[in-house]
Amino acid sequence: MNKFKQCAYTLLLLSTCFVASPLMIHKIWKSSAFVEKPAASAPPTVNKNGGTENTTDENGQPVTQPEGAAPADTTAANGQAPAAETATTPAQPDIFVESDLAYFDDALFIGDSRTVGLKEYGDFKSSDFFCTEGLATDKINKTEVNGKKFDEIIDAKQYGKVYVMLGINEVGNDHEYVLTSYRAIVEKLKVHQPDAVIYVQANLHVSSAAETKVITNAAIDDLNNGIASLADNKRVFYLDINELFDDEYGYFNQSYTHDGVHPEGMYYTQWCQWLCTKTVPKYVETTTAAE
Amino acid sequence: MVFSSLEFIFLFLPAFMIVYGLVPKKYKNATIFAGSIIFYSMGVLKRPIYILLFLLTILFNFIIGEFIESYRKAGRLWLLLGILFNIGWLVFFKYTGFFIENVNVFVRDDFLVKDIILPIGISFYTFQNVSYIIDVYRRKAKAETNLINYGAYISMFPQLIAGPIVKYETVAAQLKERSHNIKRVEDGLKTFTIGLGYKVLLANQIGGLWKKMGDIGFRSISSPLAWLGILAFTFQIYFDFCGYSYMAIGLGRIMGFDIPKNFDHPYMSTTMGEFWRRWHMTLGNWFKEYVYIPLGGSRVKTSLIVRNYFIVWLLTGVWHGASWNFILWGMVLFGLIMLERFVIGDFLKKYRIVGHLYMFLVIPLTWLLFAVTDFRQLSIYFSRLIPIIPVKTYSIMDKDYVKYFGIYWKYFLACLVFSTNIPEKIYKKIKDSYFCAVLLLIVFWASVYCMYMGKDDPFLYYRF
Repeated sequence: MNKFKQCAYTLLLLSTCFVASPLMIHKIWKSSAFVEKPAASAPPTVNKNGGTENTTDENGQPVTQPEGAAPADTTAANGQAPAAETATTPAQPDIFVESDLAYFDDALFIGDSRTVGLKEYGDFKSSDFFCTEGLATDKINKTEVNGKKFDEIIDAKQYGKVYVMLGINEVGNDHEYVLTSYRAIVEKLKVHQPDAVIYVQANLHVSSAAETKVITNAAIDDLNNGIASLADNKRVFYLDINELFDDEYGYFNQSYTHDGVHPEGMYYTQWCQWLCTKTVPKYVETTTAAE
Repeated sequence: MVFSSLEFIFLFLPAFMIVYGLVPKKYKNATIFAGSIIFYSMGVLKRPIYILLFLLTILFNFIIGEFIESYRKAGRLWLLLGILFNIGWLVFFKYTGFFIENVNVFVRDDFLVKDIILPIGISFYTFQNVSYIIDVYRRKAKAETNLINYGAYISMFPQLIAGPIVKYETVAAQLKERSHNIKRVEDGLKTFTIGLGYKVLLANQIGGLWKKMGDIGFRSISSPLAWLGILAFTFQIYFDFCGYSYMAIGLGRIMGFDIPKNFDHPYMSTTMGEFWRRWHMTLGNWFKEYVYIPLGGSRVKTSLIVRNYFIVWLLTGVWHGASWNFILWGMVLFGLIMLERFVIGDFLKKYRIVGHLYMFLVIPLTWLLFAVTDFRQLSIYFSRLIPIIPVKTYSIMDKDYVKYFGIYWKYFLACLVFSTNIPEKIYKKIKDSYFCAVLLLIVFWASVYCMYMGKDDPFLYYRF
């Protein structure tokens, strides 16, 4: 090795070790984010009055909501939640009463994979389900579940109540189009299930990690608002499960979900309990009179 | 950018191959170097400083290699400096956070923990750099005199981000002179396709079941489903990693290199010791050559053999990840291998069927330690596997295992068959037939179809 090469190499080595490396460590250290401490989280518990108790304050201490406080107030106070999340919900608290699990014995649930989870992990063992992964409002008439079509299901038996949760698979489509086929489903149910109370349910939010270009909570809220407008509070009622599972920013709380889209198995029980608090008596006319 | 992505297969690879094929022989290594840096850059787009670090590491080790060879008297010092530099960076990136976390836990202080993003492939390229300077020091290889050649060796994109770990001496000759011909290209493409199929058609599909365990929540899975789940992970990690290694070997072959084999049907082993000679073989060889043998290997008294194994398995554990579960995993493997060496090994080798049964139990169980990094979750899963442990469970779906076995039994069957050496034996016989070409073409397009449909993307549209 000649002298020149030797000098150049030595210089390069020295600068790598004593200049470049420390500089890079400094820069990498500075540009790295702090690890967030995992927030202490309790499972959502259903308040008898319909409010949720799973809000935590900045110190991670559980804060109990004032009885009956609407979830919309919580998010509004926080100021960071996507706007209008529950704001357009037609008057909620007064019409609902609490029922026990027997209420759901003559219920039919219609929905996508979230409802599949409710069927598999929930407490409504006597209810009927018409649900499958990927179900959408415009596909419902063609889709077969366990060899049966939608029309067969709703003609085979008279239900006391029908729960619908659809739309998440179509969030990327034109919402007017989705609502048209949604409305058609509701009208069809009214005709084929003359005695049934119909619940249209808001689509469950996704967690912040699970948001994609197409599936955002803003888009879900927009669609949910449209679904809410289908409710007349006489026969058709709108339910928004997000008040149970949302975190303080209006995302699906990561503590209750692994994939950011579906609740983990054990939390479907909470969902069921929540639905128990959101029932209307079978005889519809009396509830409307109370309004 | 991973190999099993449309961008790689339809953009990067064809573009690179055209340029590589067209440039004259003496620029081929430069093409590999440049192409690999582009490949690497696409993986660290948000952190360009990592490209700089990577290039600097190459330059540094190249110079160290030259110095070791030119100044033999001070060779030891240069070697020491080189090892400290390489391992230093690895430790900084991989273990700083872990270290501070544990200081906080044990010394009860509240230092802030930073989430340092690991540069892609650092665990692999660090080991290659270290193997190079040690080989030069031991005179097993001559120092590379051309920086471009050295850069091509370290950065070579087929093995850059996930191995196999190629020792310098194995490719030193090929860096200077290698043959390119159509037969090699054809061979390489076939091997690549097999790897792609392993990854996309087997690992990604069966991996869906393992992911489902998390989605449902470990508390809500039945015991049979827990076993199916961990079995699914067992197959997923094998076909994922083995597939990736095959793709690397195939790509290397297209470029004229013989990249060493990394897997030799490990699930056919009858002991854990044998398993680790057949699983991630290049890593095992690295630890053997640069840690185990320098410590005295097996030619020392028994207590020292145990110590040597202990060190190797502790390091193997932490190499896989900076977390206590990996240390526990390494220690369990150490325990099993010692048990085999001194007690049950001969028995297992003699009665192979017992050995297979033993492995059928310990492989999934040790992978569980590997797969679940959180100890609380780990203990929940473990208690699901062994239902006699009394634990509170939550809303378990009735016959959930029937549902998921109904969906996944085909993949289990395929994975089981491809874990044996039978398909490979058949492949060697029919390799040059038209039938095989058609078969591989189907595998290729089926894989592309799955990638296109995002079948391996858990957050895909229309999956709710």
